[in-house]
Amino acid sequence: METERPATRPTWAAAQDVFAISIERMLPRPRSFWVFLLMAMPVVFGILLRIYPPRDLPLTGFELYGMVVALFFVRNLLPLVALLFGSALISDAVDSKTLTYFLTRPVSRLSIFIGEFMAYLVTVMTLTVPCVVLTYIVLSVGTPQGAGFGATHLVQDLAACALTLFTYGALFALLGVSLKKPLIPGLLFLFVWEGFVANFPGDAPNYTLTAYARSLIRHRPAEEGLAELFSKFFGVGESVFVLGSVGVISLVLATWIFSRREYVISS
Amino acid sequence: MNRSRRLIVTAAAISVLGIGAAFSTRLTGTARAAIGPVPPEALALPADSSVLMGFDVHALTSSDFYAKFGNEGEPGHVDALAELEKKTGLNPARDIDSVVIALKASPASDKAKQGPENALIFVTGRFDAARLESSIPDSGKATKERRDGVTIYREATGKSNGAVALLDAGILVAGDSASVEAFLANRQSGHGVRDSKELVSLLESVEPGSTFWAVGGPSVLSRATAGVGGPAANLPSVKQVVAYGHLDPEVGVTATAEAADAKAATKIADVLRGFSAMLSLQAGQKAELAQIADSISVATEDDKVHVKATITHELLDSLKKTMGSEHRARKAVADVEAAIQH
Repeated sequence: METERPATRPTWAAAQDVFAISIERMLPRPRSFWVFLLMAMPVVFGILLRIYPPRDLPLTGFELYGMVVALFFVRNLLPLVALLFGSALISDAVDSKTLTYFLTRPVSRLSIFIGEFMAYLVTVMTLTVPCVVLTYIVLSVGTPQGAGFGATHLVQDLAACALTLFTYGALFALLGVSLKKPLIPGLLFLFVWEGFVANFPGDAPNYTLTAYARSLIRHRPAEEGLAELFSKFFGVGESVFVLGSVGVISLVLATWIFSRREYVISS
Repeated sequence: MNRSRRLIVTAAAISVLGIGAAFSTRLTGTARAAIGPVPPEALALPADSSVLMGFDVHALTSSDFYAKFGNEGEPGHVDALAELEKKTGLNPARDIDSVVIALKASPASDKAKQGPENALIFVTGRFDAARLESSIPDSGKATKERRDGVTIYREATGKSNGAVALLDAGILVAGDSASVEAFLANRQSGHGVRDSKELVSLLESVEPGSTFWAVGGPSVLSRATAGVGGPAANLPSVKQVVAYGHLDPEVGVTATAEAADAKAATKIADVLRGFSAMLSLQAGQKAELAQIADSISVATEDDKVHVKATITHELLDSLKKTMGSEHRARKAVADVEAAIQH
């Protein structure tokens, strides 16, 4: 007896369903809580700094905010968060059996991947955006420059954070669907390649993502010593183009690999 | 999706409130009336000014920097303030809050007119008309006119065309007579800095709270670089410059110059980096120069060159001591040579 195969749901509608289920798996979870605590560290330090201001701090509040966004968020924490969430995009779905559920429904693999990636983006943005905004407010309200001075920079910084999360997330999602254990290669990529090569002289920084991401934050104070000498800055348009292209290409490749890969689901 | 929805809505609410607060401060703060660092009363300065510059005298004189380096012959000593005190009896620390200077470039051919007479100086503070009048050296050499609530003093000897207008007990404008008259006319008609979109845009990019700042167009800048000579004279022309800085807790200067194109910007940046490298090379003779070179950062962005420098008071102090000992050594050698000749 032959059963009639149900028609596959439209891609976008199915992706929205996958998103609704996946966001519940990603956002209200201990991992998100710990990541949020890490992201909120500059806010806590900012409050302490305002309550107990050091006598010889050689930076204004806005400059300090610029350093926090460029070095703490864009340079270090956001790629790490993207690695944690992005590389586990599908493996978490396998572990939690939601992938079993999706694969046994009339939903295309493209819809599953798009829904999962949308859930990743919303999760990491929900954790990141309030922390960046609060860091800005805490460090700039009541200073001589005031909170209004860097308002446009704040919006630009949030866009830079979103682009960083998108690009690294897509890249690590590609790593996640390609490799069985993507965490170690991901960490090596972040701390060896991105950490060192971006500060090499010559054209070496052209081949790192972090050099483009940090070029989007232009209001931070000057670096000193070798970092200043070798730091390479790209134009905003060029940086957005490179990060966007890498993100889109990684996403397309990841979707393609995910569509063709066989997953052995344990019962 | 209830738990997630609550978290997303909370995060969105915090973010929107934060961004909204930042933008509302920008729109409703004191900056609405003023343009950048130029107070509302100074907006009658001419729209065709080539350079506008200013400093927060109150912040300068109450700074640690001024306390450490404000004596004569030191880097924080401002000759113009000392001269002002000598001539008018105004004590900068006590009587003056801020100064804004508008410079107008003379036509290249009109060399005779180049100089201080092109400067219109706007000062806010606490001015006592009686004390100002008494500070005018010889009675009869200045004429006094009272018009529309403004007291105008004009130089009466014929040696110069200078005028000082006391707008009220808190605002004073000084410059050549025609410029002061133009300022007063602008004040009546509502014209001034606001008429120039370029100036407004440059002024709005000055960081609020800066102790000193300057914005300028090409004419004066090209004259300035031509006057310096050497490699600076060969620099590509600069369309406009914005510079500002603070003195405490360290001396920090930020400058952005807009060149004709990206190639010209790179050339300017290379010259500046070369200057920084030259300072580093002299580290053997003066270790402080290497630190100064380290503190200068140069970056390009399309047709713009960004320069930032941060110099600590300790470094300045150390440099002052080194230069002081060199000066004393040179003086001792000169004294010995003079004694031998005698």
